[in-house]
Amino acid sequence: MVPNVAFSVILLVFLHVYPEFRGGLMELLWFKGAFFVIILVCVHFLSAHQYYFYYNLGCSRRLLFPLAFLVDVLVFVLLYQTVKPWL
Amino acid sequence: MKENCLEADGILLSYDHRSILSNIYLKCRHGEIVGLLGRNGCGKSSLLKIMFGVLRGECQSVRVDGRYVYPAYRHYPGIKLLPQHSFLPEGLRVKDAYGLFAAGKGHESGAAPEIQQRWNMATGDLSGGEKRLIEVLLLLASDAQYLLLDEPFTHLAPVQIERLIQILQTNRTGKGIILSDHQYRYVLPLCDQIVLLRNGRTVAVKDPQELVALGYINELD
Repeated sequence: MVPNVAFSVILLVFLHVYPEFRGGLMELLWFKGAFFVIILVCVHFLSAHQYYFYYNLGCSRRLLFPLAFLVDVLVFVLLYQTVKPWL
Repeated sequence: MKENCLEADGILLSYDHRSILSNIYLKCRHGEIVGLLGRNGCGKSSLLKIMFGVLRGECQSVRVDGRYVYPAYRHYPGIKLLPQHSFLPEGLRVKDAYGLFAAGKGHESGAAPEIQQRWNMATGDLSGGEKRLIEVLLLLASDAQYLLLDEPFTHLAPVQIERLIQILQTNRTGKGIILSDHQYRYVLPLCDQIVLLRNGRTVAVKDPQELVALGYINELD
């Protein structure tokens, strides 16, 4: 969870300092309701990027790395949409 | 008859043009505990990661029962790695972790007493030592044939280390264990075979006194 949030906070600060990078793709992404729940479940599942836990259970890193990256992006989008009114 | 063993050789690894591993041969048979010693930064953790398959060297040969497996954790589910850091997600309950690792025998009564005592606790609420002990117990409870334990004694109090040694001795049957730790006083009597990693090479240590001659320790207690 911590890396996910840290990643998001850094990007949010970046977007606050450089507003010209806002918009575009971000405006196209709009998640609500049940999708938020799915995101949070994913975040919980991959909390703190405990890769070795999943490796030891036989999961492939080819699956885990992109999934973790996706979770980072989704958490960022979620936070961005939440705090956008105050940016 | 083919021997049940985990072998690693032909491993080349370098970082920033600095050779870390160059001349490696490591073999662990079923029922055997191999102690891997070496100074900080000599490549012990990297070697274990290469054997497990999550780190790729310039070249490597990892074989289980004579069969080439790389990455091992994907092609051979019977190999597990205890990394240096804790690997259990914080929010997971001990009973759920046990259910995942000890599939098929995941009932509380079959678990080690240390797991039973913390059955309903979240792993995040355990102390560092308790968590480490539980992690090793989970790997031992799994169907793993080979365990790679990277610093299993870290965070453990002496009494917990003694308990862990007892557990490893009891559960070694049918498993091959490679154990790397700086606590050589505990490692030496526990292991059947000691290997020192030095200048990127593995050196088989027949007599603990050789560790002094090889510059790993100043004197033997």
